[in-house]
Amino acid sequence: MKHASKEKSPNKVLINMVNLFKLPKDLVLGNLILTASGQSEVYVENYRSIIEYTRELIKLQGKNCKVSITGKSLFIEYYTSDEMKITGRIGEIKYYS
Amino acid sequence: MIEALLKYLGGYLLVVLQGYSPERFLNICSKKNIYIWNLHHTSLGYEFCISLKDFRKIKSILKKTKTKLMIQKKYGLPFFLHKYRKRKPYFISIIGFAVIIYVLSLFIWDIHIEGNYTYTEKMILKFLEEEQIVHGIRKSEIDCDDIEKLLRNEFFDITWVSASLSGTRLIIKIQENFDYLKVEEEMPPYDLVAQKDAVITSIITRAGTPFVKEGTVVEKGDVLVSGTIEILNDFEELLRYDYVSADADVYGKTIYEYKDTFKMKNQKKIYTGNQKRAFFLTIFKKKFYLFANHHKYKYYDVYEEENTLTLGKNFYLPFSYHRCYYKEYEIIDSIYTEEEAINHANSNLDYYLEKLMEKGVQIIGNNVKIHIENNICITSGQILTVEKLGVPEEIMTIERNEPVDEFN
Repeated sequence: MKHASKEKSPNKVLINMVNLFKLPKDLVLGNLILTASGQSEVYVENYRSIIEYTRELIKLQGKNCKVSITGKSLFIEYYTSDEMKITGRIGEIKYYS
Repeated sequence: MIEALLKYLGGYLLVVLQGYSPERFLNICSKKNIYIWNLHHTSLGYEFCISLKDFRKIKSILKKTKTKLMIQKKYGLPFFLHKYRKRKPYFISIIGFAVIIYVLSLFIWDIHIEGNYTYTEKMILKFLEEEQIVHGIRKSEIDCDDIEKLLRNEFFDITWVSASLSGTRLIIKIQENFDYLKVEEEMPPYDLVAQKDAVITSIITRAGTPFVKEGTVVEKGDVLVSGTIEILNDFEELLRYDYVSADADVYGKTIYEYKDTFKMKNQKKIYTGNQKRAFFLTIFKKKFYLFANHHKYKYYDVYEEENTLTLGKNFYLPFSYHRCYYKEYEIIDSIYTEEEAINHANSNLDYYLEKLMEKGVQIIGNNVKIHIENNICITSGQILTVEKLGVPEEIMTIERNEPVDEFN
């Protein structure tokens, strides 16, 4: 949790601005976008980096938070600088900062 | 699909990443836009695919992150070519193949004709052939405008022609004029004349003056319906003659004499069941025997099957494949039994009647008798029929020199 304290909390003024002008949140705030389709596929967009990757756990770093995806025989089909596709048997998706 | 093909053409590697912090390596790769796919976590480390182009860039990253890459497998065209670089005939044939495809694409292999209705495809193809436009012609020699002009000039009721090249096909689209009016040739006026002796059974006249009625007995050459029409004035006096082409449906009873004789002794053709085969190819009208069984038959029939190779529907290649059968037979003298003779005579008669009916003659009855005398079978008698009478015969028109004066 040492890492979490360093994490910047998003500026309230910025959030209001985004809501007011209806700006895309993923671009301005750098929010993670997860698209889970069924139990076997997850698309992750707008992430920063991979923290950990094993067959049972994938930990990803976003701008504001971290995401861990647990499951069985997880497999990264492809990944580029801002998008990745994970397949396998997804158990749970957990957010923490 | 396209993505997979591009990957294959560029070549890619399956590698295993080992070291202290492989995640760091992966993150740097994504930052530098190095595309990585099929990332697995295995007991050896991270296993993933990387394109050959990117693989050459990542040496500095490996140093930085103190990781090692081990190549597991190589995929793609560059590796394939490298592996088989010593097989020269292979590369020669690939290049040869490409050259052949290119050369073949320079010629017309199919002439396709659309929209023809009264002109058959063969007619048009034959005409084009005369104009040196044939299957197998060089594409560069074809001038579509020229073809259009030629076709329009030759077939004058083709109102619209479009010729176009599509690949190695020449497509000709035609529009024919269906409303084309036929100008009827003016026939000289004629009479209808009996072509046989007959008894008239019915007559319906459409043009001309009928000379016969139902029941009239006519001889060959008698006028049935005359094309001459007398024009009378109010006092039943002859004014002049008008001439028309006589037109009528005249039916009459006619008689056909039938006589058929044949000898009781005859020769029969009996196949022995022996046969020999031969195969040959014809290439540019030259025969090449592939396989032939020599035979010493005295009497034999030859059956031949010819298969010409075609490309598409209308392009006959100058190659054909023939299959021949030589069937042996023997000639045996035999004598008809009475029953056989009668059957034979009957079948001959049936064939004759059938031929008559095909001509549109209606058969009412016959009194044909079969009898056998001195080893000769004679079939004779008369066949009673009803048929259409009347053949046109030109009228000798009588010119009247003195015009009749009405007021005289």
